[in-house]
This record gives sequence, C-alpha cells and structure tokens, in this order.
Amino acid sequence: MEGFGTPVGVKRAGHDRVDCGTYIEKYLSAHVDGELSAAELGDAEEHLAGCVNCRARFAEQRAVKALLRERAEMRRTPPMVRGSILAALDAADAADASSAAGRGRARSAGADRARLFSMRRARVWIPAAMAAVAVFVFVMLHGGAPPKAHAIAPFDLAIDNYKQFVEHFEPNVKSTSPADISDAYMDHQLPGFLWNFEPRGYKLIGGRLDRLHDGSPVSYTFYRGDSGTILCIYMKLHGLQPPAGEIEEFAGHHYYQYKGYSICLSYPPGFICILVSQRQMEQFVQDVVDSAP
Amino acid sequence: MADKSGTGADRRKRFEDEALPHLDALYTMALRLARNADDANDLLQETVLRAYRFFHQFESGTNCRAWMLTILFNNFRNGYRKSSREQPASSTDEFDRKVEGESLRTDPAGSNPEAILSGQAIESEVETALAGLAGEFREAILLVDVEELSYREVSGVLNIPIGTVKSRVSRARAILRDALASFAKERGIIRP
Repeated sequence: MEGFGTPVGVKRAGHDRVDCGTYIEKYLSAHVDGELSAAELGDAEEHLAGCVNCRARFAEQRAVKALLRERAEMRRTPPMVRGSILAALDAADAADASSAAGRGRARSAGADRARLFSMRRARVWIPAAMAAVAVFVFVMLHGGAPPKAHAIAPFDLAIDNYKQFVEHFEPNVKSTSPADISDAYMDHQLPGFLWNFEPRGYKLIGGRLDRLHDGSPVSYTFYRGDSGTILCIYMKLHGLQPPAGEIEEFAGHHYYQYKGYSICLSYPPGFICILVSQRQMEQFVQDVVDSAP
Repeated sequence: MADKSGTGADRRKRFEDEALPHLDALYTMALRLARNADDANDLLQETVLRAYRFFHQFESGTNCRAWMLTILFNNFRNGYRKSSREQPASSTDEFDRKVEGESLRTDPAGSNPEAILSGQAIESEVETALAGLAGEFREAILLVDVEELSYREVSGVLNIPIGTVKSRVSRARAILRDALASFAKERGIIRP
C-alpha cells in the first residue's frame, strides 16, 4: 500500500526547500499545467520567487504549451465524412426504432449489435470459482481484514478461474472480434479496453461476461499462444488496494508471484484489472509491457 | 409511446449538442493515430457511433470531449472495423509524412500562399517537433496541451496511471522545448 496515491514531492511547509533539480524534475511541468496540489504549489512558488533560472524555465515551458495549443494542426472534418456520420446516426435511430417495435424491448444498440451478446439467462453456466468470487466480494464489501500476503482472495479467485479456463473456456460474447467484445463489455459498464497480446504471439480466444453475487459485472478475456495462456479479468474496484508482497511495480502495473502463478494488477479508473498466467515472471512482465497501452 | 419516441429524439438532440461539437478534435486525433485519411474516417465513424450507442453512460456535466477521446483510443487499440483495409499502423515512427502528404490538405488554407507563409510555417515547425516524439509522449502532450484535458482525464483516456501521465507530459515538454528552441529563439519565445 505504501506509496500508492501519495502525491510525489509533497513537503511540510517551511522545511526542505525545493532545489532547482527537484523543481525541474518533479514540479515544473505540472506547475505549468496547473496540476500541483496546494502544498506543492506553495513550495513551487517559494522556489520561483528566489530563482531567476527556474522562473525563465517556467516561462519557456508555458510558451511551449501555448505554442502547441495555438499551432498544433486542427483539421476540419470533411463535409462528406460528417455527412456519412450523420447518416449512420440516422440508421442507428431507425434500427433502434424497429427493434423497439419488433421486440418490445428497446436496446440502445442497433439490431445487428444486440445479437452479439447474450447472457444465457436460461442456462446460466456458473464457474465453480463463483464461490470464491462471493467470498472475495463479501470481504471487499463488508470491510473484512485486508488481504494478507499469504492469501489474497482476488488472486485466488483469478487463479481458480484461470485454471478452469485453461481446461475449458466458454465465451458468451458471440464474436471474437476485439471491437465486438469491447462493445459487450461496455454494455455491461466495464472497461472497453482489450489487451492486445498478439505481438507477443497470443491469440484472443474470446470474452465472457458474468456477474458477481452482488450483481456487479465481471469480464474474462482469454488469450492463448504457443508459449502459454493469459486471462484478463475486469471488475469494479470494490476498494481494493494493491496487496503487500508485490515483486515489482512498473508504470502502474503491480506484479506478483503468487502460488506459482504470475499476476499483474492494475487500476483502470474505477476498476481493477487482473492478468494471470503461468508464464515465468520475466517473460510475463515482457508480455505485459509490450502490450500495455 | 409518444414518450419513447420523445426519448429517442431527445437523445439525438443531446448528442448533437454535447458530442458532435467535438467532431473536429476527434477527427484530428484520428488522423494522428491512423495516419491516413481512409482509416481515420473509419476510426472516427466507429467512435461516433459507439459514443452514440453508449451515450446513456455519459455523465452530464463531465468532459464530453475526454469521454469521446477515451472511446476513440479504445477503438484504435482494439482494432476498429475498417471498411476496406488491413491492419492499423501500429508503429509510431512514420507518422507525419503520410498524414501531411495524402490526407490533410482538406482545408482551404492549405492551398493559400499567404496562409503558408504566415501560420502554416509555424504549424509545420510544431508538427515536426511533435513528430519527433515517441507515440506515448505525443499522445499525452496533445491531450493535455491541445485538447486541454486534466491529468486525471488523460489517465482515463489512455488507461494509464496519473503518475505516468505526469511523467510523460514532463518528458514530452522537455523534448519539445529543445526541438523548438532555435525556432522559438528566433521569435523571442524563449531566451537564447
């Protein structure tokens, strides 16, 4: 948990005056962007008041920012493109209207999209791991003790799912196109971003949507390659902080070696993303780094 | 029944009022990502349609441009549906030549000698400097400086932590400062 969410460079007032190196490295750019906290801003201004060089740097960077804002090219959408977009919106409206009339149940999706995904309400396939999900969510929602290094509930859940999916993955998003899977996830209020491990030799097998016992959605995206398999899980944040015991943190990705599996935990805003694999940690980190946005 | 059609028309109107004003910003970003006009058009169309479809998820009062840019970047990375071509350009290196050459001369200023002599020269200087940035730095600085998004919003658009946004912007601006130095000195923007 340490270091997570703690603003960098915050100092107690009146102490540890910021030097030029610190100002330039940690403050300057955020200062220009108006992104410093009140405490940081105080420190930054105090430094600038006494440093003519950094004042000049600040002015320069502000000028660069202004130059970009004014001079980076902005293109007008060609009228034909705009026209075809408006026509596509009309078509979407028409599809909605006809699907509302035809099925009595309007979806915002066009009729063609609606069939891409079905939750199979009649024959719900519940992974055995849902029990573990329930335990995890219970812990998260009811303020249980923070996960200990030797038993991290969400990781156990992720691994249980992973083991099961390696044996048999049954997608319920009826398309293997990343764009369609992304749509289905967004339909269920989950992040639409799909990892692309293709450059690392993994093929996207498919996507699966389920619900946790509290009704919140969870998505499973499964990848298979010659060198192994990766499962990606998205779910709501539920207040989960990075558990202790990580072996590495790089660019917001927290890596864990847990019960013989390699795990990467990250935080798209409002969600958690867990990647699980049996790959050696070193290769796994490379897979993730090469595929990261 | 009247209620239902009213809702649909209302959604369309809200979408046109809140989302479509950002079309040019999205189009420009689509060109930067896709690197040719045809792919950019597909990417833009896919983005707008998807935004329309998920418009009920947009929280009124939040930044609609940031929301649409998030969809644009997601589409781009997920491999948007292209009407006729194969793979999106995934390398970040050979960007501007193509964009400059084949697609971007759609505005009247492009063929106007006066515009070229005044504004366009500066623009190309800035564009050249931007083209020298690695993709992840260019995306971050464009979203902050040109699209005027907050670090938090950029974090959402690019699906990266705020700390990473901060370091990418800082790095990008330092590189741009050096790249634009001689040019900026001539114009007295930065001190020699």
